[in-house]
Amino acid sequence: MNASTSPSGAGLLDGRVALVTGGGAGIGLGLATAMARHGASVVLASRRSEVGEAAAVGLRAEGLQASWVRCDVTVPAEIAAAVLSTAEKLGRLDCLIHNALDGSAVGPLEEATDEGWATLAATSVRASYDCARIAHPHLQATGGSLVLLTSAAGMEGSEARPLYAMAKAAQRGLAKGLAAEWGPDGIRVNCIAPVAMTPALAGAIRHDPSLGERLVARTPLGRIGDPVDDVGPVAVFLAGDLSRHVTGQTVVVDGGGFRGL
Amino acid sequence: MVEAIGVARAVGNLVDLGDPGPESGPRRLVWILPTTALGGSAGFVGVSAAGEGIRALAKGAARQWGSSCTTAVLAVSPTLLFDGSGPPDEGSLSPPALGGPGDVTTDVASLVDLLADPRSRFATGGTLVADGGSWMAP
Repeated sequence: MNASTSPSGAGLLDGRVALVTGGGAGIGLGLATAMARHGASVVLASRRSEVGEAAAVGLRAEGLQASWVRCDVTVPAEIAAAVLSTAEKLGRLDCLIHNALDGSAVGPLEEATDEGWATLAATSVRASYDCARIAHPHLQATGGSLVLLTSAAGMEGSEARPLYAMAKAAQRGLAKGLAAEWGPDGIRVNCIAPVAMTPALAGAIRHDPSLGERLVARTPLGRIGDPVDDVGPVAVFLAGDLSRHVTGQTVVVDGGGFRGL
Repeated sequence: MVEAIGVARAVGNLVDLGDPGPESGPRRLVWILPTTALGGSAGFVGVSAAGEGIRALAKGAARQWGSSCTTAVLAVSPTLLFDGSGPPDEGSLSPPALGGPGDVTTDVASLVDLLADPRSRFATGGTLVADGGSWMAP
């Protein structure tokens, strides 16, 4: 049995609906897969149909409830359309996970361009804000959960990617503020800070094999996590009733590599 | 946050000059933020988002610049930075251990002096909370 499935077979998210940005691959797909295996109907929001639609087809082939919606998170109207179509077609929205990010253009401070920062900020902080304000009425209606993907880099800083760390930290700050603001509305807001073997990380390790060694060396649990079976259960937890009194928190899911909180 | 990046880049030009050496004392970039950045506050999500972002920037710059320029964040009571319409001081259920948010001139400025002093040169990238003992975490 996978760690992302319930030992009892009962779904912790039966009847729930979750929308995951950047849900077509990597961490986003891992979180969506785990939630779907726990009974959720998941909607994968992705810019590219060949990624998002293919991923949804793959989940449905597993017998899971999954669909795809096109969404460029830098365009608020596309976020609104994705949220609205999810709520209309599936009748509700219980969880929105904002995972999408385009931070590939940003390196060290002196090399970062204004355009790179603009893209990074648009897909991380700005998109988090847009996802939040657009999903708010739907999440309020269900007593739902907003989850933002952040990074340990946002807590410990990064020499190689300082602006990426800045953006990830800002998402964490946003989550804490929203948690305080939306608690009375019955909406919980939390963050997940994962390290997992995604296609992007695998590519980075191929480019720099020592990266994988360094990651494992700093990880007490001795391996790089899996998006579905290691990170996914935390999304199941934060999306469901087991975390009903948890808000404003960051769950670091990296095998113990970062222990600074 | 854009302004913070601009400041960091401008200071980065000085960093290119190298380590100033012990006689000159360290270069130090200090950001002053409200403690709202640490815990968030209803109605002020932008303050906490920008604040946490700047704290991470201070850490990244510290890692990048090393002894050429150290960084620090001074987190103070939001009541010192806003005109009454800002976020409340909500660090703890308990009142500030030192009785209040402090005074900018006598309490906060002296800590900026401390951070600029060569004797504090081995501290970089961190956040010093100076709110009279309201926030005590972590």
